[in-house]
Amino acid sequence: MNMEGILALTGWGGLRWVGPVELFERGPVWLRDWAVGWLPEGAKVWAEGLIPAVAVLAVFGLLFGLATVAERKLLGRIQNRPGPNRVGPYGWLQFAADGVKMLTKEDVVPRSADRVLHFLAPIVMLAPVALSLAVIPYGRDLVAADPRCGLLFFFAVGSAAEVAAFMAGWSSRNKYSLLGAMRAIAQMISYELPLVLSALTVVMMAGSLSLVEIVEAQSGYWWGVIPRWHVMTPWGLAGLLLFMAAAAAASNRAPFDLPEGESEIIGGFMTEYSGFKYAIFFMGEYFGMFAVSGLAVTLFLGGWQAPLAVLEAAPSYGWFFLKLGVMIAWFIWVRGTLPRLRVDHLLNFGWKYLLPLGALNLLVAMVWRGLGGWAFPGAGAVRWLACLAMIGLPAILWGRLLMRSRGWGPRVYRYAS
Amino acid sequence: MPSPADSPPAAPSALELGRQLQSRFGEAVSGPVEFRGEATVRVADPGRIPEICAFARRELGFDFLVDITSVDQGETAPRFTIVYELYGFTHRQHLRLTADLPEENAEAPTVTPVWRGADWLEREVYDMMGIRFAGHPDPRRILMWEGYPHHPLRKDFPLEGRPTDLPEVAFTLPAPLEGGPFVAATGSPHATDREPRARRPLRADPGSPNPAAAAARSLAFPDAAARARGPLPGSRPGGPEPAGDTLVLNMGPSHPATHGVLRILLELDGEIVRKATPDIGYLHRGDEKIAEHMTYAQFIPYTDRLDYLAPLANNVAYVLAVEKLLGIDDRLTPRCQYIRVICCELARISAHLLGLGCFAMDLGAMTVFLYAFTEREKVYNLVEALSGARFTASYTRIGGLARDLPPDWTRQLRQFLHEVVVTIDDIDRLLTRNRIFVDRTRGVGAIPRDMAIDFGLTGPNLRASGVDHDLRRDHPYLAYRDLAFEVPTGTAGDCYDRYLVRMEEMRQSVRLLHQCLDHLPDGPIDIPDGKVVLPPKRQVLTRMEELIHQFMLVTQGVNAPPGQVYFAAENPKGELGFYISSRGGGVPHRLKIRSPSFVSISLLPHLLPGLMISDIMAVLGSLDFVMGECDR
Repeated sequence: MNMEGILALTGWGGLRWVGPVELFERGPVWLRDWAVGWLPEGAKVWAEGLIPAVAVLAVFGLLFGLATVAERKLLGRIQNRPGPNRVGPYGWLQFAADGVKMLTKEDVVPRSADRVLHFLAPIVMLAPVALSLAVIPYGRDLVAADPRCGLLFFFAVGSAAEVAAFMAGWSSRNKYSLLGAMRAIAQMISYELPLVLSALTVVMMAGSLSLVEIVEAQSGYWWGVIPRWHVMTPWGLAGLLLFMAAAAAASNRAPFDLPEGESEIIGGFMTEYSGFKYAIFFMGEYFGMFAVSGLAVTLFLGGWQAPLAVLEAAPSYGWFFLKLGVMIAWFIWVRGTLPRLRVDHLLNFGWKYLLPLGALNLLVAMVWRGLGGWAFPGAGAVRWLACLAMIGLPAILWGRLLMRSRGWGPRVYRYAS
Repeated sequence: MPSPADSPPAAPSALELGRQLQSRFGEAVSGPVEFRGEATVRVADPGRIPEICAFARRELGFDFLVDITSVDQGETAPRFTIVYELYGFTHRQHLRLTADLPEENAEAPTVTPVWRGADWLEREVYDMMGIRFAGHPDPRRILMWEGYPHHPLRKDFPLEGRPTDLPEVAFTLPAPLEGGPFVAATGSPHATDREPRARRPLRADPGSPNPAAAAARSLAFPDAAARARGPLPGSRPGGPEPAGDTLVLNMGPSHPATHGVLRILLELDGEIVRKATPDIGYLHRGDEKIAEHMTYAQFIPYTDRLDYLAPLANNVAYVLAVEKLLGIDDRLTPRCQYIRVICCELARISAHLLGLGCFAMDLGAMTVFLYAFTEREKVYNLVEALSGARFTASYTRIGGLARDLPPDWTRQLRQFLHEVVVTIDDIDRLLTRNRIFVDRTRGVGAIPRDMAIDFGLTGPNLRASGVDHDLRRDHPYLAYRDLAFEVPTGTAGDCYDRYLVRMEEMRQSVRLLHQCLDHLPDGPIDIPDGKVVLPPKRQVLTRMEELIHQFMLVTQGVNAPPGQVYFAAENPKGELGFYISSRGGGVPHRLKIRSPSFVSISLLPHLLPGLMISDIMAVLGSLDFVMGECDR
């Protein structure tokens, strides 16, 4: 084998010598083109849609399995215990054992349940979430579908999860399920707004709804070292924090896992689900977490862009999944640390805190753009700090004010006599 | 630390207070009788009990109704005795009121207007003994189910609820489990119809030898037909009538946050609780009945199963009560006293760790739970080394301990103490200033000081409400007199205060344990009295007198004098008290367990309405009860 490159079948075009960088970067695309090329003309258009879909589902299906193990292992680390460590090397095949267990479990359907809705709910939960994975660019030219309104598509299909949660809760004919469904709907609808608002900031700045273009808008480096990711701007940083808070709520993750709230309402809308249907719900939740994490990476963390110019040799999808992994680890870390919110606190937090700050962040982004013309020495730093203060100070003060409105001073507690 | 001498010297003794009661009520009250340092006043006319209690509370300062007990005197007339244990926080004196009730008219007026906490205590007396309380706001059964035809603590009820071979002298009917509220109906698609209580109640049992059973049924089912279809059995005294559009939610008896088998019937308006009716008794084992059928020493393992998170402390409390009856509590060896204190405090740390861990878990903070459990595992290891059992230790013996500390145990305990402090600090950092945790606990489930006293709340829950009462300090037993510790109290009595008080109590327990280890005396652990403590095995095998002692102790039990005593210890959950009525001999005539968890749960119908579903978990977790102790 030649050290400069290897012989590769670049699509249907033919053989040529390519370097390893190009091979890994372009490999998935060539593979798709090569496979499509075998098919008759009429089937090509179908295959071009199906092959990425299968690839995305396969990759995220595997990631789902690994993420469940990673979550349990990381939580174990946080909690001074080993976590799963029996199946496979270091327990990493635990998900396969879990899958077999879930598949072979009895599927219990309550006698009084609405069987059709009860059956459909997990599918309705999983399918839209899987659809929303289609518009996320995983690497350079690696996107299953790139509609010009990708972001809109993402939020549109993502909101179907509410329907699924309600279907599950209602059809189970269980009061705990119903309570869970009520909570799920209240929560998902409330948190959709701050989620969309913080994404809107990015749309405004990037000037496009297409996620591919949003990633491209974040290419390049300031002074050759700092990547031009949105998170490196004050409004992007604030937007990411707002987005992740809202994303945790929208995907029912701790500390916003009230719809499940296993210590309160048993399992919420999933109470009456068992076996594989439960596994599908579980999968839907994880896919939802992947989707919002992927969106956060795309919107704020530069998508598949490498953090440094010298690191661009690594394949772009590698960077994407690395960032995705960081996001997932963040979700797990939060889950291991925080208690659960109460319903009214959750809604207060969404409507009274996240939403106003999200709106303010739009304004900050506008100011950021408006101040872009400054050209005196140190203008960049002044602009940065000014915009950070514009969003940071209100965030702190508003939080304090909300806390003070409850009239709580510090609690002194004393020893008797 | 204040010693008993620090209490106001002018405080009247219990006997003087009893005499004041007599001078006020004349013939209605007999003079106080003293036994083992306790004053007992007999009320001649049961009809005047509320009046006398009101006077005792308002004028004599007995603001705390510790317990209501009943004794079945069997063949002796009058058949029943009802016992009220009173205590005053200001003068720190204990007074017992007793009243005799005839079998044919086993009814006493209720004292619920004087103490609201009497509600559940009287319901239990009615349920277990069949004594009715005129004017009681909610005269339902509490541990047994509605429609159960018998009163198990009556002497004619056999131990196992089985028919006997002597139909003319004893109870002949099987205690019916069928028809109890445990069997769900099948067939209907609607959960409300499958609910066991939706069925018609048990029919009257014509063959019942128990005359009170019919009366019990009429009390239990005043409007049985309406109730059978209605949303909730029973009603909260003074509570709002259920609105038509509320959702009835059955929480428990198997629910992740009810810590055992507590069942709460909730009426919900959305997420807001409109009414909560706790239903207990799912773990009722008849411990008090069992105790009447075995020697004092044989009952020690049963005390493990009361507050099963602190078996060591239960053992200590129980044997101290028996020792008080025997009059040997002041003869315990110093080493025994110190080791028992170590047991109590170790149990307190273990129980509080679990209580706080579960509290945090119910609020969603899983990590705290596992941190706490890591430390509890170490406690279990210590208990295993100490007693041979990890969970049900049964470590104490009447007059001593099962065995001395194993070698190297004190070093292991020291090491544990150094480690547990780190974990307590970790929990502190994870929760105390955590915004979510504070939001969910502050101002939630607040028990004002007056309410806490009115209901007879004890332990950390009482102290969180700002009442400065700790039996370890106020009535020092064992070696607590010699040890220095602080008693933390709260201000608001909400869930957050209860959390803070427990955190500080753990730190104080660590401090106490360090002192115990520093000053642990050498010497024997048992009282050198063959009539109380089993002699060493070697002597039993070689010497006649020891053999006789051993034989008598094993077959007959310790020979207790006739009389009645009440002893309470400051357990992790609160004041665990044992009332023992003895007629002499090795078996108690009546043993009543005063359960702090029972009292904590009796507050739920008053605490929960107006809160949200998520707050129920905060309140339940912060009250930190154990159903094994509540149901007994």
